[in-house]
Amino acid sequence: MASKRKRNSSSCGNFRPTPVSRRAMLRQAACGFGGVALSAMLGGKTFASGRDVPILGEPHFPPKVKSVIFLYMDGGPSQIDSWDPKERLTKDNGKPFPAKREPTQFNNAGNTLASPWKFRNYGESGIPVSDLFPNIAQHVDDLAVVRSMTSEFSEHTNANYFLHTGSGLQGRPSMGAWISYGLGSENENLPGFVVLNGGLVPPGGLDNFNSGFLPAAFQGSTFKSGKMPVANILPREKTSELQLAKLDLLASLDQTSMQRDGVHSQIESAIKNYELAFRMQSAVPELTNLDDETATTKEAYGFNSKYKPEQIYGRQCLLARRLVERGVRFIELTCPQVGGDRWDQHNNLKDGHENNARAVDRPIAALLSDLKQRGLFEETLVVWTGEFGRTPFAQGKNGRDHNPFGFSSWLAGGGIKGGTVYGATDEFGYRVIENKVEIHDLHATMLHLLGVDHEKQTFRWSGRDMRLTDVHGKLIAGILA
Amino acid sequence: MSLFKKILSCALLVGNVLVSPTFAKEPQEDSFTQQQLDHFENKVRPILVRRCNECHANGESEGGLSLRSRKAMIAGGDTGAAIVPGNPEASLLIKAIHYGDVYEMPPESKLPDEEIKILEDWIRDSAPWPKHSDEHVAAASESFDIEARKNAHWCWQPVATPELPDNVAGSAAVDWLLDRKLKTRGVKSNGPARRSSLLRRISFDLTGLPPSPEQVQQFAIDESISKEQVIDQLLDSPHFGERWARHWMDLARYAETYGHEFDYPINDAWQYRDYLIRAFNRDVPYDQFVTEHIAGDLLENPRRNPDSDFNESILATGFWFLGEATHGPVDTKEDEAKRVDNQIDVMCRSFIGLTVACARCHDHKFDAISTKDYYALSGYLQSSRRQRKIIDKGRVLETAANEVGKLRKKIDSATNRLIRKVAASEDRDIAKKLGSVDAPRLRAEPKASAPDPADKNAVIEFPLGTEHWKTDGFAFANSQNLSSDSNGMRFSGVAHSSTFEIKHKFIHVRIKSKNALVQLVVDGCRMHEFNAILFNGLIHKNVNHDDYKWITIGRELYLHYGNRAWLELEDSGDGFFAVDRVVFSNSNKPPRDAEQKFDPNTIASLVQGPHAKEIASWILKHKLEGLFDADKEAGEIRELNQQITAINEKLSTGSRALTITEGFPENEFVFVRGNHKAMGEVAPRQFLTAIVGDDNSLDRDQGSGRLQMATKLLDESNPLTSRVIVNRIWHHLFGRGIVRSVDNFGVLGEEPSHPELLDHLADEFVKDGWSIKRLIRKLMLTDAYARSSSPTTSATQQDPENILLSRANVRRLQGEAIRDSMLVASGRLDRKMYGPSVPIHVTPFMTGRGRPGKSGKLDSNGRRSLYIAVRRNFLSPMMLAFDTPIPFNAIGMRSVSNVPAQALILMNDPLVLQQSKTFARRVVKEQKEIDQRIEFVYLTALSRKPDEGELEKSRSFIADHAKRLNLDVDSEKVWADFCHVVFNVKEFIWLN
Repeated sequence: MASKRKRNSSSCGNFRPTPVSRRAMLRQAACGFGGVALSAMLGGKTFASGRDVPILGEPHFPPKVKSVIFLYMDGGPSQIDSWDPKERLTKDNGKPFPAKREPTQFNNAGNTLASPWKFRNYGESGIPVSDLFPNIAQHVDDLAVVRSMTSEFSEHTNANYFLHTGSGLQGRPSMGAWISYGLGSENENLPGFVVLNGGLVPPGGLDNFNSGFLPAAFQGSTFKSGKMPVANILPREKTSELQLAKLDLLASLDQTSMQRDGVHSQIESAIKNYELAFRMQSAVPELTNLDDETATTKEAYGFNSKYKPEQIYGRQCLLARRLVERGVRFIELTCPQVGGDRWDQHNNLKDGHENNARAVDRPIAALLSDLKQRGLFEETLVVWTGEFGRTPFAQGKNGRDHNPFGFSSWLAGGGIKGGTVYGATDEFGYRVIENKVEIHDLHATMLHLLGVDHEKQTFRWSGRDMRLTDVHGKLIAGILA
Repeated sequence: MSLFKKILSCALLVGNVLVSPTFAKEPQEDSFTQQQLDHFENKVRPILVRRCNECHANGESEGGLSLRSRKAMIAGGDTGAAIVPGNPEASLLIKAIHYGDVYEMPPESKLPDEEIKILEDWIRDSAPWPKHSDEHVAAASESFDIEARKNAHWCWQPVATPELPDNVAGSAAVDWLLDRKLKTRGVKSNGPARRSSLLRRISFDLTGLPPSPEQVQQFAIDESISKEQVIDQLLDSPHFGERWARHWMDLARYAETYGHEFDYPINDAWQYRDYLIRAFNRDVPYDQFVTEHIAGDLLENPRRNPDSDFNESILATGFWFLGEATHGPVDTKEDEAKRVDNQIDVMCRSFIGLTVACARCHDHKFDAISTKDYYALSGYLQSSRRQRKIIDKGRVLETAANEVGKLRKKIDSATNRLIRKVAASEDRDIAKKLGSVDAPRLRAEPKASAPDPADKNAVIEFPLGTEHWKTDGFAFANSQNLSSDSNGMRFSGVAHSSTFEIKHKFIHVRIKSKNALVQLVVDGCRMHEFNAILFNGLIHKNVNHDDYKWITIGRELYLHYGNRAWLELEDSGDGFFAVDRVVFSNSNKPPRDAEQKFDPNTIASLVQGPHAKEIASWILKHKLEGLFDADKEAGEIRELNQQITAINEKLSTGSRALTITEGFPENEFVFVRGNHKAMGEVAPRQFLTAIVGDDNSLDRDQGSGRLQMATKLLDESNPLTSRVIVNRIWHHLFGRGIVRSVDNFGVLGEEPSHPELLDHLADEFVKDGWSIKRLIRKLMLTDAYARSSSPTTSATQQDPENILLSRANVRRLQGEAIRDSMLVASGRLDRKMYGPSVPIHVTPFMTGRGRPGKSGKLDSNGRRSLYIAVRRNFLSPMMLAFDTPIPFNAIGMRSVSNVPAQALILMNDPLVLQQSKTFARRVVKEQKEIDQRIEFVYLTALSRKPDEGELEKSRSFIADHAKRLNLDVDSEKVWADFCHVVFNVKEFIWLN
């Protein structure tokens, strides 16, 4: 892939020769402590601290994409009401479910339940999409819809850990942590793994985004929507002059100690971190300040929507694009609160799914358009998925229970064969019967597109070479361009 | 369901076959007709070739299964035969292609229905196969050679003691062994560190706090006390236990909530933390400490707390239950397997530094640990249960129960006399004299006859004797039966049944009770206490029955068919329960009670039968004693009962602790490939084969055997326990273990840098009575510990990682110590010890389900960090940033990360700013001159005086900053900014 960017691995991009694309410029802004870069005072050593640097000098193979935007649909959106239409359900609506049923989470399984939404065919590919997503549907020729996703867990927390870390247990590194561990960030002023928190934290909590046994540097940084997206990002001093005065004294006192007690690399890199922290103080507010976005852009993302959750998600999507521009590797979006529940309609499927879809449909469509328009689509991978799907039979009267045996996700962007449908579920949309895909396979494919061989990227822990894909994972070759 | 996937991939790792069943009825192969064989060749074989052979035909047959021949299919793989000729329903192959419970094959896509049918028909037709190509495939059984593994790796070898020169002992011996290696390699070691640096090192290592101003003055400035003196002072400090308890909490994956979706509380977890603090402060010998962890509930003479006289030993067992837990597991057996996995992992990593849990799915890839070893350990936990135990401070409850016991004996004797009088009554007109008093209804004894298996409504009586029930608690101190009321209402107690398989839809319990808890515990899952999803009807809280009445455990019991469970009844000290029947049935209606009104005229004979006590209490209740001339006895009984009530009224329930207790002895089965649905052979309980061989010393029918396991763990034949603990202590004092991988001494861990030193320390440690304090003292008094940390060019070149310890390692303080140091500097530290945790301060960034409704204070009331609540889903962001481990497994070595979040916290976090201000207020108040103030800040925060350059820089900062802020130099705000800078100085959070 012809790269529009070069890897920026030195501590401060100011000393690099041009190219100054908008993206490059954004990545290089705000280096050093104003004029007083500590590293310069200490002899200009580069920013490196052993394990904190990315492990892969070079990717295993040429990467197709540089960043991932992971649109996490919290709660388990229903495949048969979105991407996987099933005639049979309409036909059998209200009749007892005829096939063998697995135990369900809520143990309140009712009759077969037809989808309340119509499906229409879109684009040249003619892929059917339900009326839940009329805007995303306009991009269907760019999507690879996987109808054969499976999970191992039918409970939210385990399934979330599984989706995020490849293990149903708490405490394993999240996929974003693996990716920034492997590839590092292209931006010296921002972390490599950012979670844009729309309001809902998935069951299982922030551990879904943790670094587990990987060094803490790779954990996801959660950005809240609102003025202060990152904890402790705003200086408490009234003016930056006051903060700089303090940091000058600090630098000078640290230097004295080093002269007296000798230079230790660990302490040196702790000092360097003050530079990054200082730069983040301006880089993060700069990121979240949307003044330089046009009214048209904001309108497209849904900023003017009367529906608050759509406004919030629109802002998250726009921030995701800005993070991609700034070279952040892995960006995950969590869903906004829509009043009722997340995509977890144990009852009232119609209202609940409609509210959740309304919040994300237009913003996601706008994000896809925006990425294309700015030439970022081809170097970004967008993934849309829940932790599992929902049952084709009702829970109670009008809900659906959790279903890990078959559900739908989609991928778009660089290296993805758009307009594809991959895999199939049975006639009820209950179980996968063709081209089964596991979460491990999704992970393997994501890593692959980033140029990483999932079998080669390992971390020695507890006596084993651990992998994101554990001992599993194979490429979903059928959706690759 | 992708277990097959795990099974597949594990199959690549190990090749031994665990199950090789034989089948009686096997049709003769010669008898296949040509037609059958043609059909096979045309229809069946192509499917096998196309769909299966990729993984199941060649050398590496996945899951040990080859489908290359009929014989191979019958021989089967790890989980047994693939086909049962003539019986497709019983054939695993058919279950697998139907995407059954155990396998889903082929993994990519389900076969088309017509192909499934062809294979089914073929098996129903006895699976014809041409004889000439039906080769016999030998099972690829490669036996797992524990002995060879053991001989090949250092950690299993006995502790060998190195020879030392005469008169070299104690600390000098440690230095001698280190120096010998330095000399051999020609590396020159550093001289001693500055006294102020050394003092900080000693103080933080022993207490997690900076040295006191007196210690700084005496040791670092006046040099009026020696290293020994300051070490002894700090070893005696109560803060020593706090510091070392926190190290151990990392191993015990200490937390106070269960994590997962709602982060439900682990009640009483803090008692374990307090146990650790006291144990380290009292220098409980490590062998005792280990025994208490494994089996503190089983000690004949448990350690009593010297201040409050309660059982200390049992509190250690809480560590078993500090792991995560999920509510509403769809598969309880799998859920249990995961919990047990974590328990075994934590135990083995902590005490013997081995990753035994790796052997859950396959014999350990590298170490001398078999899958059978893993499941043998699992059996100890299968035979044990969790229990919230009352802590009986000052033996108040025990003493009261003894008193009640004496009174009960008197009551029994008076009752017997009363009964004798009734039996002797000749008066046939008693019925008339009763007047309005109703004769009681007496329950008929349940029929003991065996139920008819054909009868769907048959009920099965669950026995109530001591063979099937265990009781615990002072409520049962004087009784043998399932009644917790014989001592009065304030005594608490638990009764739990033996383990049984769930085969019925309902369990009916006839119970008389006040505030009782009745529950069924399925596969050890207990989260229905908080959330009964999938366990509806399995738990009944606050059961209040004035008289015996049925309560039904059911509703969702049918979801748990085939799982193992026990009944548990709890009287938590404000009521009682008494159970007289437990019945399993498929009807939601309890059996009808056959009751009979007795004829008062028969009372004299009836009172000599099994209903004696019922009749006696009926007489007392209705004051009928006069009829039998038994006023004296009745009066006596009433008086004694009043005394019991009086004793009860003085009692309070007492606090509780999380402990382990004996269940009913069981062995676990090997789960083939870790699959809980594929049970293999039985793994009789025993400690690791590599250490104990085939050990039959345990009477496996008598209790869990945990105490015997602890003995094996500490036996001389096990070289791991002592090595692992001395290495942990070394790690904490030198910043790197002699074996760097402190939790893994196995093949994939690291080799010891100084094997002789490790063995020397382990040997002396055991000989010195397993004393942790004495070992620490010895190591701290070495020259190596006291060396300067300054790197020299030559040593850095020869030994870049400083493995030979030619200098001290610089070490960053742990998050807890950083926060505590700020509190010390600001004067805010509250040195109060022990007790329930202070609530965590919840920031806007800590969101998600189970978020505490009320946030703790920003400074957590000034308490030390180890007293702040550890909520799995709401861990302190500051502690996380500074690498306090996420509590999911035993972590003996914290990572030391360097992230901007740490700088951001120290620069901008409200707590840091608050403490800077508090510090400044103290500085301005206590010292008047600028130079004195600067010196005070340095002494308090960095344990030393500033040098001239630092003084000058600080002075001019104060002057300039006052101008910048347009304030007086005495202003607290100016000093707050200065104090804030000092908190950010690297020396504040690093030990030189």
